Amino acid sequence: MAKEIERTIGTTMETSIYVEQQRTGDTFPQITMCTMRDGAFVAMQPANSGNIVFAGVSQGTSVISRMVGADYAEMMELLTRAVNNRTRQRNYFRLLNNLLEGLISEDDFYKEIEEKEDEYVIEEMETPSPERLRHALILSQGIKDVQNSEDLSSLFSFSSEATDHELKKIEADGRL
Amino acid sequence: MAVYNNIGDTIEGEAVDFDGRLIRSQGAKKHPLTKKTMKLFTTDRNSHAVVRKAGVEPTDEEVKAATAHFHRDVDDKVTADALSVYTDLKAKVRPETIHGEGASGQHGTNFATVNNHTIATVKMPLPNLMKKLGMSNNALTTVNDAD
Repeated sequence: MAKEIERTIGTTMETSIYVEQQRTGDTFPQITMCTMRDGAFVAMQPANSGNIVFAGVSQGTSVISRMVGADYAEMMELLTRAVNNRTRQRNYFRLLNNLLEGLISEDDFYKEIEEKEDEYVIEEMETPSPERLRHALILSQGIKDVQNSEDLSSLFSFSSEATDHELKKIEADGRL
Repeated sequence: MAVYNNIGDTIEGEAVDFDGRLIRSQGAKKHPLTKKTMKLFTTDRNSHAVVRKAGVEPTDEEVKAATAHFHRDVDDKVTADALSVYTDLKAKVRPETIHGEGASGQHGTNFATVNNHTIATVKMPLPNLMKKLGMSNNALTTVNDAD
């Protein structure tokens, strides 16, 4: 669908640019094109203008989410969550190292984890929507050691059952 | 005894053996269904987990219902390219690298015995899925590789 939109917009845009160029004699404007799962938009800045013009088409909310920054805010939130969960892992292994080095006793080790659970223990707390899981998969491309669905659900505190369920659907569809 | 290999299939036992080409310690995590704080391991490629001592059904009705699909009989086994293995927080887990029968070519396989409460579940490996979606996973690294 997105490719279809891209093709249509591309043709329309090129035609209008050509007509505009013939009329004004301007050089080609600077154009940015962005295609998404359910839509596409273009941003165009004529060479002799400070204004930027947007045009787009969408069957869902992805274009609007991108343009108003909702995607960005959600990705920031997911990344923050991922950093905090990796910090919990680091805290756990740091404490384990203290135990192995003999700096704390075994009793102290378990007591510390029990008393400050949020510092050391990862918890699943969200059933991700398909859209959020899609964002998590996009982000996971650049994050080390995300090898399986358990890693993904641990990193983003997603329900592992729901993550597996959604990933199976994505795999069957063959696309995000 | 039965062998399970579908994503989500789970075994639970009071003693479990598990192995994989790689075994990664992932720290502490609450099990999503039992809500118990446990140690998490993940395995990669050619992985198995088998119940050596039968699992005990939980008494809490809510947990019992959530875990009704678990397989708890001796010799029940999960086999897959990715497993999550939750062990009791106090369990001693010391993976050993073994070579020869059951190990692939020049690479060994890592094997561990847990004599405590353990839950192992078949998970979905991501590299193939990412490739199918045309996405990159080249930031992935491998650690604790067997010799």
